Amino acid sequence: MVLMALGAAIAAFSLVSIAAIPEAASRQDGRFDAQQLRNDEGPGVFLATSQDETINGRFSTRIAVSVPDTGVEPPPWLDRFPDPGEIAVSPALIDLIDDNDLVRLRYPQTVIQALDQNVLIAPNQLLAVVGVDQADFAERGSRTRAVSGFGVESNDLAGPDPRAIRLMALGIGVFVVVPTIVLMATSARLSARSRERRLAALRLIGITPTQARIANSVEIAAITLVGALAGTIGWYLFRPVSQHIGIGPIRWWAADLAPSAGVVAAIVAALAIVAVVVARIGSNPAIDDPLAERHQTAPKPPSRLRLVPLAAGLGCLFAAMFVIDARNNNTWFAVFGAGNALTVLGLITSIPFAARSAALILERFRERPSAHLAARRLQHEPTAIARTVAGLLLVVFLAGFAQALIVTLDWATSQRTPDARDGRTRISTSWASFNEGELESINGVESFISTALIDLGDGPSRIVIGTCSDLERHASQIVGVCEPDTIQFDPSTSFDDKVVAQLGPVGTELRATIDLPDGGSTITSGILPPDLLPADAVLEYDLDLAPGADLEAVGAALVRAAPGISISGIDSPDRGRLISTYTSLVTAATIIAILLSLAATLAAAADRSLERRRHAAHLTALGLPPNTLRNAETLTLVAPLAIGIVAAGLATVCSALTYFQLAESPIELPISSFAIIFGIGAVGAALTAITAYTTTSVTHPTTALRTE
Amino acid sequence: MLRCEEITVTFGSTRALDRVSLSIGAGESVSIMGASGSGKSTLLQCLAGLRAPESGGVWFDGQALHEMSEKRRSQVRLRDFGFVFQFGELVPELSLLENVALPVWMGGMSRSKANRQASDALERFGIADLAGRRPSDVSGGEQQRAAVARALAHSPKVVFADEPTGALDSVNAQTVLEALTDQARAQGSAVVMVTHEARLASFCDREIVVRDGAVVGDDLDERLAARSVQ
Repeated sequence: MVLMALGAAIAAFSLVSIAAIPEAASRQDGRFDAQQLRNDEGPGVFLATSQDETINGRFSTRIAVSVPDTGVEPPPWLDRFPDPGEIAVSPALIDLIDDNDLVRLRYPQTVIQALDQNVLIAPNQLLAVVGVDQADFAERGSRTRAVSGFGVESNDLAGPDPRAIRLMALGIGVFVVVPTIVLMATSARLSARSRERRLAALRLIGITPTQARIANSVEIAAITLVGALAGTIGWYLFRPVSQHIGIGPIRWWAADLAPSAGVVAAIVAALAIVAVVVARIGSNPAIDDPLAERHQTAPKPPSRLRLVPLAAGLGCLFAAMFVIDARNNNTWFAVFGAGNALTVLGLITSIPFAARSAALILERFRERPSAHLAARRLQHEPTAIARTVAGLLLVVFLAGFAQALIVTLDWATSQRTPDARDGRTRISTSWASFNEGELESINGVESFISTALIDLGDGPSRIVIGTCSDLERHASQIVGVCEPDTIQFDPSTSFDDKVVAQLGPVGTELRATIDLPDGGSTITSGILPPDLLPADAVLEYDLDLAPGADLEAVGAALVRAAPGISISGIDSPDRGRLISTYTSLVTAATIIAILLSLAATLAAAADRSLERRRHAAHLTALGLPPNTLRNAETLTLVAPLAIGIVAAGLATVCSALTYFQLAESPIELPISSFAIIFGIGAVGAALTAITAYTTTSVTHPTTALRTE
Repeated sequence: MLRCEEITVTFGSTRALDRVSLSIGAGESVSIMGASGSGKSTLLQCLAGLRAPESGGVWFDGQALHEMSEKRRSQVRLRDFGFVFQFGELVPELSLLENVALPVWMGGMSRSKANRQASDALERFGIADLAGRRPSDVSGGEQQRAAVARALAHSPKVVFADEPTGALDSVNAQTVLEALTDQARAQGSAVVMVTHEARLASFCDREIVVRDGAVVGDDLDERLAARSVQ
């Protein structure tokens, strides 16, 4: 009963956690909206610009405001607008300012307020509201605009990193819900043998089948409800602690985790229903045929139909790998998904055959009493160990799937923007205080070229801002002739003649290819002399760095030139941020799945040993050494478990290799992944063995005899 | 061969055995009778080395069972004692042959020899044709006969039986008891049997009556006298 209630408690804890995520995400979205600049109809009341950047690999938002009129009302989450030289900042950013020189250079202002849960999406959000002098807003820079305040209503999701809580819902949902179902199914079958004998006895004395089923259902439901309520209460007690723990870089406010009372009640009720359904399915034979239960009729051999799901699942994976083109996404995903689902189901339904295989192996050691006993147990009841073993096979498969995700993520992000160690970086700024002439004086910067996105009437086009010699220095390819002091465009560029006429004299057609920091290249639409640059153009500078340049020093110098400058690649590459978030998510989900499945496995192993304690006590009374009995029970579980783990491991490797079909380049599963997959299985098997060994034969042999 | 002196066992405030002394000779069959709660099963447990008395002692072949470690007592049970439980308690996943051979095998004999010895035991009890069947495939009486065969297969010095026919009908009960006592007599094994039925107690040479934790009746003297007259 205790184990059953504990299983229900763990299941409730897990499901309430999942249920809390949508509300938390919604609250985060609300605070994200509250941070956005609002531009209502009519003239704005102050100048502002919002800029997203990367600091120490973390997503950060910098909002610069210039509010000369003291009568302007600040948003509810701001005590007052910061004056030039002042800053209202999140506690996480305060910590970074204190610890990191480069960040301190970015934010040299005086802190007037620490922002809090009223506006911060999560406790670790990096957010700064910086007071700037109006003169520092560049004349050009479309991001600088007159706004009427903060707070919008939008359908946007809260920022990339805070958005991760939604990613958590997707990932953890799969990795938590499935093992939770296994845990509940296992819990509902704990003490099944004793309960079924009791039900059979009740039937034999005259209880009707309906009465027996009701009695069984009430017992199971009561135990599950008690456990589920305890788990729910435990979740509410743990909630404030979770704010300080998080999952990798993912953090949340504890108060955001607020599932509705109706949802929590539905979860508790659903767990009781699942437990009752599973228990009733298992107990129906004893209720319908109590004589067979009392006489302990030998169980029927497993049907070969149990092998069908595994065969079908592997067949689907084979088709996804060799037959169906991965670029045919919908079909491929459907077949791949079905293959995984059927394989998981098939691994569980095939357990009796793993048990029989293990029995054949153990029979080779039949001169050893423990091996002989274990072999006989597995031959007699090959299905009996299924609920003990199923959870661990599931987690081995999920671990392999998680490894495939992590390897794929690592590969995918490695294809993206490399860091400045490749010799190039990009900065963008719209600050009036930025002096372009300072760039070349920075130690480590060899040369630079500025580009701008200019709307030529048909959407923004990337134009080089500079002279012909600038273009020749940086372009890897030029088609056409560059004429000085003349606007020149790519022949394929579509533009509005009136816009171009406003810019200045137009020369011959020109196309230039400039290599970008991300390893790609861009074909510019043309070249524009600096003095013809429109007032609202936002400049970006592609800097060529000298070999061996001190990147920290370069970054510091750039920030000194303009604290609000946005740098791509120097302080951290994109892939560091992304892989950290996704890896944390997948790792956390895998750990949760492991813990849930392990809980189910160990509970079932302990329960199985306890259910056999009467047999063990009688054999101990006969004089059989307790170690023989312990070894027999351990072998009964571990032998088929080992076979199952190998099968699950191989199946998940097949699944992973099939998943890699999605990548355009071949991906290999590293040795470390194999080690993790099978290592998890080995550790689980070891813990199961220890549990079986220690819980077997703990009953004193005197209890074997009839008590008075 | 087997004796206890002034043994006392207490459960909470209840004295299950109160300074009981008893002696059982080699090959002797003894029935321990008494009402429910009289202490007869507790007495059997102490004599079998399954429970250590709080005071007094139990000796088997001169060895103090009450002073032995559990491991040592376990070895004595395996080698020198046999047990018949009320419901047989055969291992469900083993065949009848394997069940009977198990204590023989665990006592140090090779598996093949143990199987041969077990097969002989089943033959003696008339169920050799059921050797390959599992307990769930035979009747209650046949299971109990297999349990008796298991208790005697390794030729123990003492067989302890706790209500061995409690789950059987009268015909099967008589058959099983006859088999038990006859075979034990033939092997020279002593039998210590707990029962509450006088009819079944008559199968034994000696009847001990236990009431409220004390031996209140022992017809050893009368039976010895009756034999000497005969």
